[in-house]
Amino acid sequence: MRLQLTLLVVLTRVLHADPSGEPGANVSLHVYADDDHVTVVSPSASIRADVTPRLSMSADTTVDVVSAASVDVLTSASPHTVNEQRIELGLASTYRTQRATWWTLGVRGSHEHDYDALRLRASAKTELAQRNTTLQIDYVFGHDGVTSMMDRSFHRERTSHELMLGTSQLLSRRGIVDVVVDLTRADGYHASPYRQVVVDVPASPLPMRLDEATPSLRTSIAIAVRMRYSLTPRWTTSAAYRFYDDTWSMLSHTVETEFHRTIGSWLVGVTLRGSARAPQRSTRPATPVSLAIALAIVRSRRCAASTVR
Amino acid sequence: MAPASSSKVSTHTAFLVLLVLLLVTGCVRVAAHQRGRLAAPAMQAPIWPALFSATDHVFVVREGTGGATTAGGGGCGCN
Repeated sequence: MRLQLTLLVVLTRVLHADPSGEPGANVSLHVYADDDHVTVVSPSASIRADVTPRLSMSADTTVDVVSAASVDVLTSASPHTVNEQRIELGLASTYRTQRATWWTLGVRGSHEHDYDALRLRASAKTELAQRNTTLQIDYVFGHDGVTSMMDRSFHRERTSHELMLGTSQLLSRRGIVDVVVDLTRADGYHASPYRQVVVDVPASPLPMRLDEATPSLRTSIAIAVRMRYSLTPRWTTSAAYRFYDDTWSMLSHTVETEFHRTIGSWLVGVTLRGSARAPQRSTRPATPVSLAIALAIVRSRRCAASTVR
Repeated sequence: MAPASSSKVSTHTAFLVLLVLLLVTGCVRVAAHQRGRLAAPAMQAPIWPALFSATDHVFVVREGTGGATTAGGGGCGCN
């Protein structure tokens, strides 16, 4: 079982990803660590501004500083340690129509010394039934470029198409349920250029090292159901379940529960997450079960004003 | 190599779950003045956008599975 710990500290106000959120700026620090000796420190900043009453723009940037064992540590027990950085930039524009409908176009890119990723996103969201029901559809086109530090001539690509359908429904004055269905098709290079498998060959005195090989096409479906509930004016909770299945015979079940407490202008939360996976034919050396704990502390101007009784 | 029957079952299950939830919950009406609790920051989705995006990326890389992590909203009446 893999144990994971995540800590988030948001140094400024809350900035919701929801297109109906408030304009403002946000600086945060996110730290991830697990018992595989992987540590990720991610400072990030984002800003959102209303260009016109109906048109808003947002931008964000994140830098991941990763310290980990070598990617082949599980297959070759390599003692090497990897230290690398990833920088990500995102831009999005949202237009709101009169009838509570939001149209969003966005672009997101990230760069590492051996990996580049680009995502183009189009999204539509509307509220129906006197704003009791929210429907959302997202399409994301992705293009990834993979290179290797060990072989400068190595270059592989992968393209992906992701369609996400989501609905949120108010259940009562205190509860909301979300249902999300996600279909993804990715075609191209999925393996790691650094990961190899050592095979003993009877006729040879030295073992043979084979590069990781995976099917080029991977299609997946993920279905998530989440319930959000206000226990008291200051305490809220949520519970979620996600089912995942793909054509590599990877099946996973993920459950997550959160508790949040408003203390003055601060929002404090704890998240417990468990995931069980059953890779039947995947070459990825996955841990079957993982348990994650996340702590978050956010200062929000809206918290004190929103504790309505 | 694709487990076609498994994917078909998953797809059918997904749309069945979606349909049933819409039918079951579609009759509920919460008026705008009754949504004070729903407008609280802790009731928004994702509640922690910065934590959500950072952890989602880590989990996708570490676990090899992902998707269906963003939520729609909730018509909280906060704008």
